[in-house]
Amino acid sequence: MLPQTLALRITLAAAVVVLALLPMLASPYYVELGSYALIAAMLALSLQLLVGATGIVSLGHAAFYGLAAYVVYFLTPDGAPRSMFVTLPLAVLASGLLALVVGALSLRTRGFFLLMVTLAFGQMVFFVFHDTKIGGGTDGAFLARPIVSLLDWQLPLTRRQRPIAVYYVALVLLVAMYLFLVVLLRSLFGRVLEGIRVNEHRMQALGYSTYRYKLAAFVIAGMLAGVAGHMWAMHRGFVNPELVGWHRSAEALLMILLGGLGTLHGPILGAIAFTGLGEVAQLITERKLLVEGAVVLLVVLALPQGLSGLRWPRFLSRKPRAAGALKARSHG
Amino acid sequence: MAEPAAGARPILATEGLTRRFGGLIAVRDVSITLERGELHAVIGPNGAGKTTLVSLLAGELRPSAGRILLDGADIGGEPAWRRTRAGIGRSFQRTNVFPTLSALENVRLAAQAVAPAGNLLRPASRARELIATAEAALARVGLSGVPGRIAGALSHGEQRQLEIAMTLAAAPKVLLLDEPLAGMGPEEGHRLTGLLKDLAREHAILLIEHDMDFVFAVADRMTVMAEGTVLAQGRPDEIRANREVQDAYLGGHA
Repeated sequence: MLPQTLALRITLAAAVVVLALLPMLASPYYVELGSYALIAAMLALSLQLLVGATGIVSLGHAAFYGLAAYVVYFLTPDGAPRSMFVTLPLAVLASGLLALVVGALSLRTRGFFLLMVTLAFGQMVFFVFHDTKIGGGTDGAFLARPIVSLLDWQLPLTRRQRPIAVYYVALVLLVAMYLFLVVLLRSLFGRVLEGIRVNEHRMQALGYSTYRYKLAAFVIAGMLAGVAGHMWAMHRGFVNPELVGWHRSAEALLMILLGGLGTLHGPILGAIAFTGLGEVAQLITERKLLVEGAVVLLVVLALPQGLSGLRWPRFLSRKPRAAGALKARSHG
Repeated sequence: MAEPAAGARPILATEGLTRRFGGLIAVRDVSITLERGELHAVIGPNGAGKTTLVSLLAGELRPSAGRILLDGADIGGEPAWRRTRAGIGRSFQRTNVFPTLSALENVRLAAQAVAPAGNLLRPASRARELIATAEAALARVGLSGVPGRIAGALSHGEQRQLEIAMTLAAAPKVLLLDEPLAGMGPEEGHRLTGLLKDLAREHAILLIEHDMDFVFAVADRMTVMAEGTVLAQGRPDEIRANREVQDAYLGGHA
């Protein structure tokens, strides 16, 4: 799950540098697309805490993502923008509370039933926004995008600089989220999640209330999805019910599958590849979804560990130090 | 081994313990006691309800009727994880370790489960007290040479030892050992026999085992089960002399 080899760590650091340089090299259109990819990466990464790290597959994850975006809408009823340092914590808090309720009820079940229960909860949230007028109904609503400001100070941005600033905010948040998850998975808490993924029944016999740990992971994952959803609001300035729909949850799962279940960087890779693929597919065909589906299928069949299963030539992939006695390398 | 003080209550006791699966009664009205420092062996033919009894004690199954008393407190309604924390340590009949984790991490997780909560967000590699507990448990079962090895790559016998180390790391009041010698070769079995004899000096152990030579050599008391009920209880020499038990189970052994 964690980046174990030196080559991989260097590659990840280099990838961050490349992403940081993108706005200087690419046209505004691609900066916007890049922002979208980074937001999708955050959503997929937040879901990976459940799917790859704990072994919980949820089909309702977009509910926490979309709710955070709607919270930004609720916080700006007069159309006056507010600081992201206000909107972000509140949006994340709301997502966390919803995840606490959904998780508390759905984590009593496992496997297929859990999949269905999370799907049902996700769709309940979807229909709340779809069928009532609280969030603009079916059509969605425009919102005042959060700004980068603190007290009286505000980051001065021209109309053309704004998307670039949003891109960097998204990149910083994605990197922070990744590092947070590295710390979390290395911790005593993270080791319990790994134990649950490998053999939940044995963890209970060892004395762990696995339900509580799974619920904690579910809430953290929901809050991280909230970070992504808030970023969407900041990026697009628009919310609609699609943000909370099951389709978005399934897309995040596909990104994880595409990038790899066994690694933390897999979902990021998957999200970027999936966004790029959608773009290419749109250019060459009108059947975008068909092309996307075929490519994901091919990758999953050819690379069981997803894109992150692709390896450098052997001489580059030495380990930084002897494998710690504590943690045998799980996979990837 | 140490005789319990007169009047002291047993560390573990069941009263009228019963478990039904639909129409089948796997365990029927079983009352047994386990004194402090005692090794109590439960024997009986396959299907006698021995493993069901252990699952009831460990909390994987809930009793249909009857009580389970740990040090006088009724724990019959508690889930498995609470019972482990209350001091019931259990090893599984079929080896049940975390195959993708290292031997040390397997045991460290066991130690962490019962340790005071503390700061769960500190790195696992810096939890020195847990690592020390785990290393001590590995050394206790004779596995100090393999901490970094992946559990799934250990031999069957080593995995059985690991299983016991995981149980010991939680410092249990009571050890439930479900066929610890199952599937062992003679050499491995011999090593583990020595270990179990050692453990019996310090722990209250409820043991299920098919190896009669071993059972009669180490048990302080025995319970013979057949078809879910208790057929006989007593010291090994009493069991050996019991005609009913001989007919039902021991055959030519006694």
